[in-house]
Amino acid sequence: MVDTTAAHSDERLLRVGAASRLLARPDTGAFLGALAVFGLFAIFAHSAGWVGLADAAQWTDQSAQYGIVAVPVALLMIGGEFDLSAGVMVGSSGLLLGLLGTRAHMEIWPAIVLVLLFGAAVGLVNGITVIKTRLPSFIVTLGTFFILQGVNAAGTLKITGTVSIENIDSTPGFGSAYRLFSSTVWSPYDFKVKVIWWIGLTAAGTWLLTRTRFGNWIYGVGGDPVAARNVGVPVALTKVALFVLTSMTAALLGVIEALELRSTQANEGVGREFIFIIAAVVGGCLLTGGYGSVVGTSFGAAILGMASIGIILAGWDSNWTYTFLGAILVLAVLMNAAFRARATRSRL
Amino acid sequence: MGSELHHGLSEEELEELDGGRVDRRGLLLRGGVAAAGLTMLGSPAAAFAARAGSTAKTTKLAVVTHGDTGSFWSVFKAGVDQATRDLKGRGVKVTQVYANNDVAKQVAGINTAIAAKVDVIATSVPDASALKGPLSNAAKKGIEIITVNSGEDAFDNVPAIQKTFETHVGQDEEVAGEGAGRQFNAAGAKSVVVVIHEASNSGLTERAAGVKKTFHGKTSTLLIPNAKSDIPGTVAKVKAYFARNHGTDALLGLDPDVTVPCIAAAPHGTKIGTFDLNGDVIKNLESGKMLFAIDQQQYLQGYLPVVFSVLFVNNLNTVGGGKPILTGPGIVNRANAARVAALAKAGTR
Repeated sequence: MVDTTAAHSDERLLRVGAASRLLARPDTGAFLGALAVFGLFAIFAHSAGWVGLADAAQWTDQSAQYGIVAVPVALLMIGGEFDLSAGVMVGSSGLLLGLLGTRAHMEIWPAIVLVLLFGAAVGLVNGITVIKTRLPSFIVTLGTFFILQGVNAAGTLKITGTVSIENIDSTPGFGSAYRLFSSTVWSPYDFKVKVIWWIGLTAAGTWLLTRTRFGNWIYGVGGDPVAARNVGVPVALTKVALFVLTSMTAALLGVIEALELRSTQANEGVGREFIFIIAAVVGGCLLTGGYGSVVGTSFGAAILGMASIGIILAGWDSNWTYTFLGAILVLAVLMNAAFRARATRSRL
Repeated sequence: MGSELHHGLSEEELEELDGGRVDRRGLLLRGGVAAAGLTMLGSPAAAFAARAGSTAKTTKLAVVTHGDTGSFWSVFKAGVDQATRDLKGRGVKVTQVYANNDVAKQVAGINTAIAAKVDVIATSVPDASALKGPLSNAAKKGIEIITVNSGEDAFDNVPAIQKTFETHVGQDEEVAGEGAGRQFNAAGAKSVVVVIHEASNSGLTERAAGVKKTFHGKTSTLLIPNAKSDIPGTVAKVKAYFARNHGTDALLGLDPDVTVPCIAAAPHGTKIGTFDLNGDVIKNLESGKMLFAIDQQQYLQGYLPVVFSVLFVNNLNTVGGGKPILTGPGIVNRANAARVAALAKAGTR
């Protein structure tokens, strides 16, 4: 952790009240923010059924679209690194799945395994490049982002003559994969299965971060890599693993989207890398690493999803969407900073 | 460019011919002198043209666009190529540059065309300010200018370019929107939502304005910034729109990549139209899930400038009368979808 004033000998004996403990959590701000945004639309989008489950199926769909990849992006940020290629990876993976299924005529399941391995490979390249060159991951993954964006556009055009790969549902075994990744549950509300994936990944990410040794390593390498190395944390391994995890999860979302739409656009996912980072920041992760929360990040994704759907349901002018999202971001970060200041003060 | 392209005239003679005369009358004189020179010098091209029973002037046209080699522009290029083949007997030489949205490359293409002393430049204008300089230079040299695809009205207030500006060949976005509005009227729609998938593309809002002009019912717009890089999110937003607006019974998408996935988001029986064609659109038109598609027929945008150039160089004909030549909206619906599909396969639609 970044708290360098921890030398105080009696800080562990300090009694902290329940409210203080709650406010000291990194995800409290995002939780309160999510409640506030939900409440806002419960008032303004009430007539469109905001409080009901049909609307929830819509905004959770959009939130899952952000949240699935925001979870590993948050872990990576806590580990002190960025991945700007996480957005474009969604498109690359979907395109690859389409190519394997419709051009190489593979069965869907081996194709999905290959796509996930492709994700792992990209993550490995990102991670090893960052470790070996000691360049900021911001730059390295920006390079990967642009390279993949070019490959997506040029490759798709070369192979199909258009900017998308269609008819992915002609892949043998499509139905079984569709059910697992992209179908809907709970008729008549029809929640997307990807919402379950999102919640599942949030739980898994939280467990990984807070209940395992690897989780401690993540905090360690993000907070102070030198100190972490000195106490025996495998810094390089931890960071590379986080990059691999991020790219693989982006590949998973690519698979989910390609199956859902039965086609993939060459520019799918581009621009979403910042949405993932925004979700993590709203969720209480620090840009400097070493601090943050997976649950908070998923609340962040929920806020962004609710806002983009809620604006339409409230009948507001959708031209203002970005302004609204920007305001939410600033408010959330201010709130997080205030809570964090309180948390650090209370430990002194 | 070799001397063969200059019909055997020396550089000095060409310079003299080019010198200063930029009005149409000047061009007329120049054309006559050049034709006379050609007859006297008897270049191979002139001999060929004479055999074909035509005037003895090879038309030199440079097609310089911001396009790529994707599905849209490949159809445009097919139009240029076919027209070049069809008019071979009249003597026409066409060079083509596709700048792939690289303005610098497009400017370089125009400058190359000026240096090669072409008769006509046909160019798209995605960025009027960047092309103003080079096209003014072209006009100064007396090169006829035709804009294609995009750029209608772009140089209305640039006298330097107007000197030799002939016409624009393209689809007027607003007129195309008006066509869509009429289609919805014919289908008896009451309230249409136009999904605008990019925030900073004025062409898209012009389309929506056109719909509003002709559609008898209520026209609303739904802006979804960067819709094309989050298609599942776009579908969720359109679904939310229909949940909020129960009276909406029609949807117009301005790009097939947005419209086709949104079919699933609209309630059953919604009348759905789209701009532009692709394989999925034709499938949905044939099955009746989609009502119509607006086709801007870019094949014409490639074909017609070649014809216009030949007519201008040989006969000093100009078309348009100061108005654009509209290539759209061509309407594709269930009635002609199968035939258009066959043509699309052949690469001309």
